Amino acid sequence: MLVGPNGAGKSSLMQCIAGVLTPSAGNVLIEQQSSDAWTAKQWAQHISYLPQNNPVNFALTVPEVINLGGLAHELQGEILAEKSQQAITLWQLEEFKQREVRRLSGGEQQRCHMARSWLQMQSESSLLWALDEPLSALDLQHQKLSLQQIKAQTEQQKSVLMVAHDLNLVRHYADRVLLIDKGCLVAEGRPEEVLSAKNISRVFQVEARVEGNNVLWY
Amino acid sequence: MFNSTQIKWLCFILPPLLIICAVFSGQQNIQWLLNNEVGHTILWQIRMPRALLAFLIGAMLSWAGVLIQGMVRNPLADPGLIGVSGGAAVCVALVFWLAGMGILLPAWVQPVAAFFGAVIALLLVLKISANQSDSMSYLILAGIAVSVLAGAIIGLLSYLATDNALRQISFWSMGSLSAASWNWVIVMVAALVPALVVWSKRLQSLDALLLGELNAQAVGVSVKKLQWQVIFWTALFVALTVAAAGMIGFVGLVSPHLARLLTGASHKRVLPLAVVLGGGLLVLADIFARTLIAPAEIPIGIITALIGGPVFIMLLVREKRLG
Repeated sequence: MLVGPNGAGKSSLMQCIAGVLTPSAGNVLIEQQSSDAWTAKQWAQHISYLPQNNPVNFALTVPEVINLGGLAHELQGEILAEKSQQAITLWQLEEFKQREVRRLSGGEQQRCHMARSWLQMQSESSLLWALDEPLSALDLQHQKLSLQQIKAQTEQQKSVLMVAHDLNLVRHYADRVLLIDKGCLVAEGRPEEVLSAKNISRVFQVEARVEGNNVLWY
Repeated sequence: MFNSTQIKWLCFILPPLLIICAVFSGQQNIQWLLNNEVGHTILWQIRMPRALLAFLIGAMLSWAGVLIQGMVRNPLADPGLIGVSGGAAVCVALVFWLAGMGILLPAWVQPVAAFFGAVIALLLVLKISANQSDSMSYLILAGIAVSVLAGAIIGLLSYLATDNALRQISFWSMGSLSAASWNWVIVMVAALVPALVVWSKRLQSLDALLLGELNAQAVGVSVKKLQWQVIFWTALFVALTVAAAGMIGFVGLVSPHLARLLTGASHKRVLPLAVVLGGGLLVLADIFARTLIAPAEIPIGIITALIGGPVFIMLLVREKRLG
């Protein structure tokens, strides 16, 4: 999981990793290979990236948005319909099937985009699920659901990189944590090492204390 | 709500029906037209190309409207409103003016010049509105500025023009299909066929663009490439229609909007429906243009503006209510 204060460069890093933003120096290696010449489609086949903001101001319906997750993999017809239905069931969107995405609440919209991004991961070629603050709009029940799905992906030998702000959640769920500040990597490693009281107070400029497995700050 | 199958049927039924109506509406009765040498000429050399051209122009304007609205994610982006038609019109007026001055250019110069005018206007407007926090309103504002500028240049050209050129410019700029010919029909079809091939494969990519550039890129759309394609085809379609029939406003705004009301936002359904509705609307408008004050003609641009103006106001009110 990727952690850091506002403006640290988390989203920019995510965009570079997803091939949406070209880094001003250096390049992105995927499976030890340079990805410089990749087309947008190739990026999308390997990495399913979900940006932080997902505006929808046209009347696309929930299935129409979810189906876009199959675009890079050229899914069509029955296969697409089947996977899309799976996504709808999994993300508990059955009751919104006929609805326009822009008419849903923030959390419901986010679930719809998660479902789209999840669908994009359901392919042999997909390696990495890059999620930029996927949980911020969700209620507790759906945060849990999302974390379960994220866990399920890692169990299928796929990687997940996500941005999160809830440090306790990061401590409980992350395998590895990257702490960045002002565009630089501050610490990297196991959550209990990286999210130490010292690191947290230095980077986030708050008083922090670690009690057991919980981070307290004030 | 229309589904895909219903739209397919509509695409096959509506255009021929309306074109037949258009061909037989007018001063002479059907019997006379069908049983007379002169009648045949009127049918095949005047009314038929005119009805077909009306349909094709309406279809192209709607097509351009759907593309540009999808690209800028703004349902109010009509090619006329955002200055594209204005850019094309300046160049066409310039050709008329030069002709008045005795500088005669070959016939293909007019549409080609119109294309460059349209591209320049479109790029200018997009450049001004890019990176603005409220790019929706900036796009319209920039479009109005470009349209005003274009209007001023056309005004200046008319002021400086010879009597004959002035008459040509002013009638053409109000929009009229009286220059319809089989040649124009062939040109339009030649532009529409490749468009059909290009865009039938990219409808879902257009949907992706509705989620913003970042999300479109994330699902695998080459956004820059797609945007250039939208700019090219919008400019081409608008330029050809302006060169053939002058400024016909609001069709590119009204028919995509009607289509979205009837069938949602997915381009797989919106594009064909909007194209057929736009073509149909213009055929109807031309029937009115020819028959309301027959034997005289009302410029078709005036008819579409009379219908389109109130519809546009209605849309603005609706957008406001939706927030």
